[in-house]
Amino acid sequence: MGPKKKRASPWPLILISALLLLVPSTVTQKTRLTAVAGFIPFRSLATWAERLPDKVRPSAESQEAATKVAFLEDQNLKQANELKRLSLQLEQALGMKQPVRDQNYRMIVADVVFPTDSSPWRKSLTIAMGTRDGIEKGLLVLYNNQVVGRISETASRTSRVQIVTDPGFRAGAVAAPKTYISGVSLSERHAGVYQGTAGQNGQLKWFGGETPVENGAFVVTTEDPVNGVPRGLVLGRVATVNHGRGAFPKVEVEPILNFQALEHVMILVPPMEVRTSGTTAGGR
Amino acid sequence: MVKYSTGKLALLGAVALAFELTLLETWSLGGARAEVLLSLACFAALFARDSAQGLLASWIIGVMKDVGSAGPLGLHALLFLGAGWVVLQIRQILFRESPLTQLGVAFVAACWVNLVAAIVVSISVGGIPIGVVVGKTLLSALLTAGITVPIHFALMQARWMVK
Repeated sequence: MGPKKKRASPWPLILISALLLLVPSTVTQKTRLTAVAGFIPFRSLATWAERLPDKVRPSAESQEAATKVAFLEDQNLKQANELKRLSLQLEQALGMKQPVRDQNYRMIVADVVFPTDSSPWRKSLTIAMGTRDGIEKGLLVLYNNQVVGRISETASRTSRVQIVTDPGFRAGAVAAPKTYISGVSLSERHAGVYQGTAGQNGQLKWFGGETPVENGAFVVTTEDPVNGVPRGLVLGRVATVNHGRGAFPKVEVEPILNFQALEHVMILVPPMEVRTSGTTAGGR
Repeated sequence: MVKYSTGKLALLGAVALAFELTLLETWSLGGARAEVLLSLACFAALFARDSAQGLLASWIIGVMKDVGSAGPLGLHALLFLGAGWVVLQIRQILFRESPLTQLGVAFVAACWVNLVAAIVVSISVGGIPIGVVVGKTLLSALLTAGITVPIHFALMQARWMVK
């Protein structure tokens, strides 16, 4: 029988981990975001790998698919033109204006570096813009008129966006009726709080039970000038409504966007008067 | 017996992190996905030369996981270290080359890491519904256990990758 091997103690590493946990997130996130920027070349490799199945398709099938794609593209163009015409008519009819354009918000386009978070319980994406581009914590991130999330951490060249499905994401929200009732504006309805759940859907909570909420209705933001959130931006669509036994119904909100497929996003920069009137809310 | 170099395993961990941050999410099932880094940490603990190497390698892989996360730095390092320590305590009685052992170790480790991480996130950031916690934890543990067997097999066969 040989000499008994001495087992190493885990305590030094536990102590280092505990010390790291005590360091403020703002300090560690800058370093981490800078380190993550080193992985940017992998992103283009992944994009190439995602498209690989299309490249290795047999040629006969490929030709047939190409014809179908050309036909569908043509159809798509026709429908897009029709949609544009109808949208303009609707906009004129309702006297609606883009909520963002209306309030002199500025938009900055940013490329998505990594569309996901390594932790299964946090939902974030990394963008290739940071403090040197004027990005600040708390700014809202959009894709068209849909909310992607909020800037939670910034480094000089990269920033982390807390996605709407992250459990730390909260915003004032209201379920817009599918059919527009004249004389009822969204601000007059009972607003609730939208919160992410770390799952695929978010939740709309704390709104009055008498508020009619229907499946498929859009959940949109309510105006929050302090945090630079204009009203009418889409957070998702009502998936299920559970009235249960509580005073407040639980509404599951399904995001419309596929966050993993995003290649670029828009950062919403509020006008200076909005930014000076209150500090923008940072994600936790 | 398979032996590995901590530096090479850390390098492999960096590649696994890049994989987790890019392609892996597209293969998720019901919002849950396999944990490649945890699978590597299990390998590190099962096949370590001694307990010091096993602990250090598990911890480094945990730190890497934290680098790609919005959560606090050190959380996964601590959890991976805990999982690695338990494996190192019981590996004398385990037949580590067996796929069943690897499957079981990865499943239990994934349950432990995901459950504790979910509790910490719930306390520090915001509530996660219990249904989401249980469903995602179990599904993720199953997926992790599923990928662990081929990953460990590949690492045992292509020893140049880790030795």
